[in-house]
Amino acid sequence: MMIYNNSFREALGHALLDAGEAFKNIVVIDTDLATSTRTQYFAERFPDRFIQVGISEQDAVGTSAGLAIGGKTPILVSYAMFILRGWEQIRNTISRDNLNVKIVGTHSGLSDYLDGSSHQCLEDVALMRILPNFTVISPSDTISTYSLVIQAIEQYGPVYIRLGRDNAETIYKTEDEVTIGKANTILDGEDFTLVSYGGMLPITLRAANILMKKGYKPRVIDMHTIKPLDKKILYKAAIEASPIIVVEDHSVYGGLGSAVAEYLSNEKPTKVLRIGMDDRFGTGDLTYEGLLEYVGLSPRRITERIVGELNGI
Amino acid sequence: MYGDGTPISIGPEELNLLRNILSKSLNGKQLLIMEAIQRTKGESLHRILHRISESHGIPLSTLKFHSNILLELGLIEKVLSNGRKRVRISRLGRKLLMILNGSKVDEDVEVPESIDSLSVELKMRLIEFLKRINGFHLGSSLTTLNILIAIFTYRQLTNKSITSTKLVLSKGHAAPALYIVLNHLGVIDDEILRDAFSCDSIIQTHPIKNCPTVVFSSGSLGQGISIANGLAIKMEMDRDYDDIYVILGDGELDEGQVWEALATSSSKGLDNILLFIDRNGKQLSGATEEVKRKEPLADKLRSFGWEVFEVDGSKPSNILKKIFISQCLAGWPKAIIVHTSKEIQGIGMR
Repeated sequence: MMIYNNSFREALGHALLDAGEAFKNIVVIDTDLATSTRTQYFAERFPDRFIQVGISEQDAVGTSAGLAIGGKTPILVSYAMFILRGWEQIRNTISRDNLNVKIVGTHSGLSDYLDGSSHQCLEDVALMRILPNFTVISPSDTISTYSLVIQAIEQYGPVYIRLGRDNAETIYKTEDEVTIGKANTILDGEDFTLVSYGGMLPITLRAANILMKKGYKPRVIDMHTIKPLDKKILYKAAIEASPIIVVEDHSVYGGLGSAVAEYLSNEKPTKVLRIGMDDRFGTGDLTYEGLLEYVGLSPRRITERIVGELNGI
Repeated sequence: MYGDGTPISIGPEELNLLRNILSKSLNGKQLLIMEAIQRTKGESLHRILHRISESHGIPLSTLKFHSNILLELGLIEKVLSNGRKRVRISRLGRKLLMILNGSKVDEDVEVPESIDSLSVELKMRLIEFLKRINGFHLGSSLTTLNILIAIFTYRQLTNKSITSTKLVLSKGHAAPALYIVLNHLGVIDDEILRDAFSCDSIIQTHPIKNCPTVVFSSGSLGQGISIANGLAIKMEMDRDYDDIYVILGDGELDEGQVWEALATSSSKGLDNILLFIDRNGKQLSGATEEVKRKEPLADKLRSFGWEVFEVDGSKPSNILKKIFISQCLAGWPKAIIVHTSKEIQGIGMR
């Protein structure tokens, strides 16, 4: 059965609808993208709690901060790429004052394949995880999107939720399978560990399937919470199934790959291979699969890269 | 010295004549409706008319007839804000009310002149206070001092809490002036002032939220109006109103976010925001008009949907009068351009 049409933004739209009923304190802030991010559902049901500020992200960040200061739980939803236009405001106000603002960046990574590189956000994980007080989440399917959005609202403090556009696949069966801060082992194995998150997790799983057919036994971890990092699961993987290979539709600089390397280099020095966007931008393509193939992040090309590296070890 | 935007100036005699003419052209019921709208915040016309009908025993149909005339004349207008239908006095309507009730002339507002001598005293204390950091941001603090004195005096005179004042110091580097005023009011004690600017202090060179009356930690310019908007929207949602005072420097107007936020406030009719622009004409690299032109500032603000006043900021009593006048207007966010100078008593510094 298809869940929310296997679309991250559909899952978000429905999570916010239900959250609107359950949490009277939440308000949604939009920058003229409601139909595209699916906050339109919330806007139609709760017009009094939907705030349109127009195409002005810096103002939207400040307005969200003011609402949080007043005691509301604002949820600011926009494209990941354009929210970053207000990064300094996020840093200086939301992060510094530890304000209870939830920021949802949709269309992240390469998920907005047709719009091209101006819309494809490959930097947000790096820029958000360095901010004190922030929790950074990137769910890997629609069920975990729904669940983690609700959990983010339930906890106090600023949260950045990185979402893909559509192109999700079903990973989890129930909402209670995911908890903020606790990574999930999706596939057990001991030859090496693949760590991924968000829309790249199903792609990584496909690569793992190809690798299994070649006789490898990969472990696959869904690191849906990038900050705080689940250190236990990484430490265990470093002992039981190294090397660690991180796959992400993000710059190889500053993303989850860097976070994993930062941790392991201190606690359990292990080889960490970072597969992502290698100091480059994406481009537009007619299909998501086509774009992944082009930039080297399709299951086939990820597999090739891993086999090459393993043989070189 | 500074007009309220009308290109012609009207003397007291002419004002009386005009008042006479206008009061004869509108009937009592129409004025009643306008004054009721003026006093309310974010209500629908229907609800207001119902209330007048009940309290004055006037048939609803009569009131509807007269409100239609007011709408046709453009003296009141309907707006949609946050999904709610509201009615407010139009710009023209406000001018008319200002002339009619006469309280809109500076001379009619009585404020304690003692705050002008207080200003001189606090200025000296501010200079003394900042000696330990070699006059760091002294100029900016001096030009903002009178605005702060006026705001807190207004709170006192209207019996509003001092400690729960919602102050958005967008111009964060003027924080030392706030500390001196708060110390004078007894909100910050001498000991805190003595340990100012050190690691654990709640009074830093740029304000942090732990300091009383400070709404958010500022320092990065251009963000204050957005913060005030968010807070004002929250107040409107919960029908729990208080004034929000925002202080902006004129150099700060270079930031694009200021203009995004100005448009948001007026789009949403956030009329409990009172914005002060410290128009000292100087920014770090020189004269504001040379760095990036700000004029015609009042016209720009008006074109963004704000009600604008201008005042000579050399005395806090002048500013206080404008605050009282501005507070008579509901339905629109209000800005007071305060003309100040960084060249005070021969002390010229940034």
